[in-house]
Amino acid sequence: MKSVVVALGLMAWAATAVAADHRVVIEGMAFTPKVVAVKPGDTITWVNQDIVVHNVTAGAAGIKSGDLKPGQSWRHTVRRGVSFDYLCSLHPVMTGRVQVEGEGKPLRPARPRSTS
Amino acid sequence: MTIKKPLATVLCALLAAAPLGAVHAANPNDAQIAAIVVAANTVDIDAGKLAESKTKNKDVRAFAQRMVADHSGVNKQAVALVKKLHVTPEANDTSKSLTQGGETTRDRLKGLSGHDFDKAYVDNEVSYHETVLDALDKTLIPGASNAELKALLVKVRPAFVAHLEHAKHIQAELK
Repeated sequence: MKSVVVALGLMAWAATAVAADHRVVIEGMAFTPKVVAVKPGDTITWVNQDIVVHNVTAGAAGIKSGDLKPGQSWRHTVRRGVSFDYLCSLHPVMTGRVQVEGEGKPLRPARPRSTS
Repeated sequence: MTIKKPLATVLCALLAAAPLGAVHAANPNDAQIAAIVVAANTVDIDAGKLAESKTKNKDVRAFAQRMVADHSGVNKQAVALVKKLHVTPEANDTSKSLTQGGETTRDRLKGLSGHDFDKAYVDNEVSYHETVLDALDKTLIPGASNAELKALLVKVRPAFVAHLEHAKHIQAELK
């Protein structure tokens, strides 16, 4: 039993050890880098260094940071192996993408099903 | 042939929805630039507040709310900077014309409603942001002598670009 606990602990440690932290800077009305490549378990921190309020929103992926005032940041851990596009819903011209390695198709808004 | 006009005349004409000409550098000093920046933002804040109260279009309302919030944020930073630099914004022909032109535009918009209002407001927003960008590039940024003031203007510029793109998108939808 003890060995199982140790093994599980080691696995958890290993998972934590390989998870990476990524940083996306919001400045000049843009997300930089525009595309961030991650693995499941990685953490992304968006930092608002701009002069106005922004947010990070991806409705289809359930991502919603809420308002990030200048100087504020928001952290998100990628739990699923699915890439997604996001935007600042306050300034829809600002877009970005989280590209998850080893995943299938990106999340897209669900299309209405035909009833015919 | 390019017709050159003083900056004040052009910005005033812009806000009254008159045809635009090329922006001629009027060589304002830093105190005057500060006053122009504050006046330009205030004009768009006031227009946004009017749009918030009049429009029934959700996209126009969201855009107007964004203009009020963003330009208020820019003004807050501009005022904080001039205080730090011990610069007193100096009213000048351009800042006065901006304020007067803004009032003229709001009076015109107040007489409109529905789609006519939305279209006139958004058309004016496109022209406004285009001309302020032109003024930033040709007069305000090159003319600022204080490094921090110049840096703030450079930092503000992308917001005007994004607002312009956003306004053009809504403008296309309203046609």
